[in-house]
Amino acid sequence: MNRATPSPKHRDLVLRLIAFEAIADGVPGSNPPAAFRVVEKLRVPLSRMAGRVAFQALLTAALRQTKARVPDFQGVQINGEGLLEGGSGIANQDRMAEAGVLLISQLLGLLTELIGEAMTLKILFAVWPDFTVLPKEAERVINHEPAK
Amino acid sequence: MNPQNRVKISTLPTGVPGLDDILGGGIPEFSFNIIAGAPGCGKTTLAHQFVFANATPERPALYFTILGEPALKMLRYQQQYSFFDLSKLGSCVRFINLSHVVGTRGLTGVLEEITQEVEAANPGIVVVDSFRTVIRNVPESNEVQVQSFLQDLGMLLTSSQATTFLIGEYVEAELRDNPVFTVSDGLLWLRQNVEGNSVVRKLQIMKLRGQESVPGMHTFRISEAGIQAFSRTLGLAGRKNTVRGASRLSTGVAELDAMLGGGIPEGDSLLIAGSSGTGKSLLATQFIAAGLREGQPGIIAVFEERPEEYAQRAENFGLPLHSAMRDGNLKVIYLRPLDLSVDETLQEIIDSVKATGAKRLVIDSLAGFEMALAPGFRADFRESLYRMIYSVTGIGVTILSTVEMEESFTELLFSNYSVSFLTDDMIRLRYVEIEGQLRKILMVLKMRGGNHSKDIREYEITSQGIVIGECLKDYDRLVTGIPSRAQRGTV
Repeated sequence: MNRATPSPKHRDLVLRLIAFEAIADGVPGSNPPAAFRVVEKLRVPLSRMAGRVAFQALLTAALRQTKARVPDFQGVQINGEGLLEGGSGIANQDRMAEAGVLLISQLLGLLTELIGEAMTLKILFAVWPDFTVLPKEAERVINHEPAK
Repeated sequence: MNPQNRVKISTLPTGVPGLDDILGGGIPEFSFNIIAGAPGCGKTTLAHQFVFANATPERPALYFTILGEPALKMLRYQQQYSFFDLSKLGSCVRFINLSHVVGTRGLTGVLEEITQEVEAANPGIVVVDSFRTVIRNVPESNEVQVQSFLQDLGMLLTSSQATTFLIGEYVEAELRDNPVFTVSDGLLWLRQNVEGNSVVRKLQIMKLRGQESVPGMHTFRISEAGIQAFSRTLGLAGRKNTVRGASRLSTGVAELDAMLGGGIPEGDSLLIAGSSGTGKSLLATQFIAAGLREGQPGIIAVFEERPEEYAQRAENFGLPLHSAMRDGNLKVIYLRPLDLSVDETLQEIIDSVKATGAKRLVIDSLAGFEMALAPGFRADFRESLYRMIYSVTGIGVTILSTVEMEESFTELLFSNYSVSFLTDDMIRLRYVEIEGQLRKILMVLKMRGGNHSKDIREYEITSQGIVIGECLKDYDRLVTGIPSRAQRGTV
């Protein structure tokens, strides 16, 4: 997982995670909140395994790199609990969707560089056991197709 | 108490080759142990090896990390070891970080968190890494608090039937009066000393309740496979000794067998000492070849040339080592001079002896062996060699070692290495100057098992191997290397 530019494979992986959360939200187009919830779901096992400080350090680095590429993301912050805040009032939804993908890519990229792809995937599977087998609804989210 | 009425303490395998022998069978189940030592000496690796060897989905391992090595970095490095089984992560092995608890809720908070996790997971193994940091980072802690915390933790984990390891960076000066060591059932101390350019790693079982461990310092090595320990008894403690000297083994040179009183007593250690070119290696090879002809597998440990070269040189003398190597009846172990520790070298020899069922072992040569060792291990050389010879001959293997001698033409040296005490029997080869020629003589210096020839015999190295000639009765002072013609029978 390359931190600077996610490969198509890893981009697809991140899109799947976001799609899973978007479906759970029932609001397929709401990419930033879905991306935030991916982060939130990762926060639990990562903080437990590596510590809150370690998780927040990774997320801070990922957010810094995302903001550098998507200035609209400047308002997004990490609160004391390690949760993302401030993504609501952003107008350009496409750019925000891309920022969400980028943020999670950066986070998983950092994690992969530290503990390897196999262990990172192990953590993802623990949170989203079925994320490699997407329901049709999720495929539509990924492909930006309208809901039927 | 009557042994039948005692509680039976089961042991768990450590997953560390050699360590179970040292511990007297493994780690006692439900015991509360400390792994102590300076940073970088392998404490975390040892704990991981144990965890991955024993954790199951039903009785998982809970690995609590606190303020020591950051957990992500620990996982980054530990997964490089071959024992690190990713498939066990989550189901069998669970890593839980408690660093925030120490800072905010102190020892009480740590105990509460561990209690909660233990009750939820029913673990078979609990590791706290690093435990030392728990104590260091609780400013208000005092000895009573620490003792109370330890006793509560010990009680919780023992009653939960969990085998526990607390990992800590301690120095030996802290051993006295430290409540951690008082409460623990087992104390494994790891050390690494730098000697010259080499690092020598040793472990010691300083305390182990309920079972008899092997005392003393044991060498260990950390490789891609993790930790491997080498017991001081080389894993042969308690083996039933065979009856030594029950039969005689041919050296492959009939005249020499006769000089030895019928061959080398089975299970003896024979030393052949001589300077360069006197035929020590050839004699050793003839000894092995004689065994192969009689269906006795053999091992040759070489240090100064590669097995192929060694075997080829033997072939030149008509000794078919290649075919025996192919058939598995002969193993030539080439121990490269790369900072070897004595114990791991000896372990490799012993493993080969066990694997092949060898009856004959050649070490060619002791000088090469010593040179192959890391300088820090050379101090242990004689003692380790003694342990190996005692252990290997104890299981009925006959050892022939060679030792290079610096030739003196004024006296007869027996061995530069003062290893003669290690041997039951000793043969000395040497050059002598006779009538303008440099000739070779051979003598049996010592036979612990009985009588032997006192003759000093000339010998030659031929294409058929060593050929022993007559006793040089016409010369005196042969042992000095510069004999004089004897003046006998004249009045």
